Amino acid sequence: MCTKQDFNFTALGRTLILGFSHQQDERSLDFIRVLRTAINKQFHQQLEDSTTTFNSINLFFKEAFQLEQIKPELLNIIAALDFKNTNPTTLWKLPICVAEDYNTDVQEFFIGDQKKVNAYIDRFLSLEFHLVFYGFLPGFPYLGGLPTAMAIPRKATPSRLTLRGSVAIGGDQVGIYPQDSPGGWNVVGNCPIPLMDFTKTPPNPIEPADRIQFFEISTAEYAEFVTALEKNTDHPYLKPFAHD
Amino acid sequence: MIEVIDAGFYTSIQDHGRVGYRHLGVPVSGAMDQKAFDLAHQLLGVTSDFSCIECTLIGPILRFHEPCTLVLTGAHMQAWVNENPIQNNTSITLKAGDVLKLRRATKGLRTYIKINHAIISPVVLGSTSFYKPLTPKAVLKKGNPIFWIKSKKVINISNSRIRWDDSYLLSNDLAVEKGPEFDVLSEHIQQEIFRKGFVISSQNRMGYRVTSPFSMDSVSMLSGAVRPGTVQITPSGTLLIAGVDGQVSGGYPRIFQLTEKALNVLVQKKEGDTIRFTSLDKLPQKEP
Repeated sequence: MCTKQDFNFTALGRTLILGFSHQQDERSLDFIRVLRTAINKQFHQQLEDSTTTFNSINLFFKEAFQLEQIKPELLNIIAALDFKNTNPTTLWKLPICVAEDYNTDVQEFFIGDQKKVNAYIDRFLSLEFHLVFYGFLPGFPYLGGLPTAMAIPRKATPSRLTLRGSVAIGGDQVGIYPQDSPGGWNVVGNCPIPLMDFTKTPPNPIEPADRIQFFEISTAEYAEFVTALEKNTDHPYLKPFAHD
Repeated sequence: MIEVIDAGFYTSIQDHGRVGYRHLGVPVSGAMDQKAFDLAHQLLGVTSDFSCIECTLIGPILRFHEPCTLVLTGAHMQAWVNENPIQNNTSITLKAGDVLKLRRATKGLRTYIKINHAIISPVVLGSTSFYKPLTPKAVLKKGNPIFWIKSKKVINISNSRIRWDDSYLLSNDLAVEKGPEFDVLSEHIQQEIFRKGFVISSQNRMGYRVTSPFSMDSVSMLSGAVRPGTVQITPSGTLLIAGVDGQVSGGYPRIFQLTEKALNVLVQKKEGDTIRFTSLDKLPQKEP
């Protein structure tokens, strides 16, 4: 996906959308990350911000722009990209409580078949996900890496309340709710670590293309963590494990 | 200090927004009507960095415990200082103890109160704009005091060279450019959507919901970037127009992008108002 023909350019007001075909593999994700970094560097003065989605890099310009003028500059960046897959991504290990209270949606999906529920959760815990982008709510991560066979369709009618910390499945995507919210995704467990602290700059260390794995904690450990968080005391879970 | 005697319908502190954090899923927020926001600091001769108070539909009743100068821009609301009616777009000098009373909007929906001092409000990611849960509050409540830091800047009140035009408050026409998924609309809808008026069914700072008679097949697409003024269409034909607190990405076809002027027109419309789309692009024209 490194040739000019693989990209398309559209404008949405002061946003330039650089589109490409969606590929779920890590190499593609890393390519997008490297390209976004290169674009941010060159257009630093002109951009408010840039975002990524599954199949686009979105450039939010400060002023109105001429698409035909920017397009060759972007193609030049793409052509000159020094892409050797040299930037190692970080692996983050996040605690998840999968006790029954936290996975009613998965129970419902398997119509209470405990064997199937357990098999599904075991498989889920063995997987490594990657952060694609943040969207929907502030700090809501879209995680890729769920095999198609494990996809659970979004609910026909969204729940009125999906709790903060809910790790949930929408189709073949996985997300973590940063706040209580209505939600149409199927909750598989709860991660007590708030992924973002908006009082800090930058508010979050987990970046697109970084890898995420969940490890199971008991209800007691979950409660212990919540207490530590409330009392603002030290707890190992407060520092997500970063591995190479 | 400003004492909130009555908070009005939906009153919040806003500035020019929380720019630069969309990549974390954080909307820009800020004043919905950026034109009115900009006019306010120009009329007062203060920096655009000062926050303002955004009022919606029914304004607040505020007691000013220290003297200041203020201006009202945006929607025209019934407005008084100590029972004396006041007008928009004019500097008004308040003495300590004066009460500013804003009530129902008579033209437009959102009014901005700007004072010549720096309002103090928690700064989160570089902005004071209320957006819960990033900021502790979504709206001002009765009894919440608002403090300010005095500005030393001398105001030249005789400076009346700034021209303003509030005719946009009465406009129903929204100029749009085609969005990336405009082509998912059938040829028939592509024509009809510029001929009909559409009624706003609900609105808030996240966005506007507009009813249309167009139903369409569900389009399978990946979530894409959305900015304030992006118009998406749902399978049942509801048009979703993103506001400044709206999500940074959306999964419905993006059929239009409102121009920035059109966005200022839209945010002054209320539930039940009718809007029309006018095209900035050359569209395939068919004989009627």
